[in-house]
Amino acid sequence: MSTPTRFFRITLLRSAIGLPTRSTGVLKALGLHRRLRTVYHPVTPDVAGQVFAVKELVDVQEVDRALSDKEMKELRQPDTGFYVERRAGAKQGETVEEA
Amino acid sequence: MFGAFKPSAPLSGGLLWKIPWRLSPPQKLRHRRRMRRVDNIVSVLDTALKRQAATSAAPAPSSSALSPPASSSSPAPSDLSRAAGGHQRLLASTTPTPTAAQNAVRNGRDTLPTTKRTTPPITAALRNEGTIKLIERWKAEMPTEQEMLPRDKYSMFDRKAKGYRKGVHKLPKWTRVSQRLNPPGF
Repeated sequence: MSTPTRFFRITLLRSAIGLPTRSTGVLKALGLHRRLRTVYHPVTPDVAGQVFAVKELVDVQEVDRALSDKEMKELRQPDTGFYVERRAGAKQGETVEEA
Repeated sequence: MFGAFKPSAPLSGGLLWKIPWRLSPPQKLRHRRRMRRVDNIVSVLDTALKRQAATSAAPAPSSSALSPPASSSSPAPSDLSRAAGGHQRLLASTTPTPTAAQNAVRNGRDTLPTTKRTTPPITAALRNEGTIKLIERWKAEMPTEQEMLPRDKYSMFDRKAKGYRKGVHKLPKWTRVSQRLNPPGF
C-alpha cells in the first residue's frame, strides 16, 4: 500500500465494569484489558465502528505512526537525573562510550 | 464510631441508597465535559475516516487541500485536535449549523409531530467519503452538547416521575452512557 496508513491511538479511560457484555467484548477485541492501556489501530471503518461502540469509555486521537510497547514505555520513563562520567575501575581520562 | 466506616444508614441497613434529587454544579460541569468529550471523539473518528478515504483515493494533492488553513490568530489545528473539544471548534466553521427546526425536533419542542427523525440513507457517495452509518446516524440524530437545552442535559424523561422528568444522574451508569434524546413533547 503506497498511501501512508494513519492510526487511531486509543486509550481506555473508564472501565466497562457493570456495562453490557457487548462493550466488554469490544474492549477485548480492541486489546484494551485495563484502564490507561493504549493501543494503536489503523484508520479503517471497522475500527471506527468498534471505537464508536465504546466512545464513552475511551480517548481517541489520530496519529501518523503506531508506537510499539517498548517505545511507549521509554516515553513513560522519567529522566534518570544523572549521567555516568567514568565507570568504576576505569582509568582517569577514559570516557564512557555512548551506547 | 467515626471515620469512613461509621455506622450510617446505607452501610448498616442494606436497602437504603440515597441519590440526591438534584445534580450539584460540579457534577453538572463534569457531565458537560463528558458530553463534549464524546462529541469530540465522534468528530475525530469522522475526520480521520474522511481523510483516510481522501488520501487513499488520491494520494498526494487532496491531503493538503483537505487540511484546514491555519490562521495566525487561532490556535494551530494540531493543538486543537489534541485538546478536549478542540475538534468541535475545528469543525464549527466547516459543518453546517443545524436549523432551528432541526433543533426543535431534537429538543422535543416542535409543533409538528409528523416530522420524523430520519436517518439519511448511506449512499454510495457517502461511502466513498469513508464515513460509516453509525457516525452519520449519530450526527443526524444526536444534538451536540452546545445544541442541547439545559433541561435535556441534566434531566430525562421518566413516565413515573412527577412532571415526567427526573435528574439524568438517576440513570444507572449515567456517566458512561449517552442519554441525550427524550420523547417529543416531554
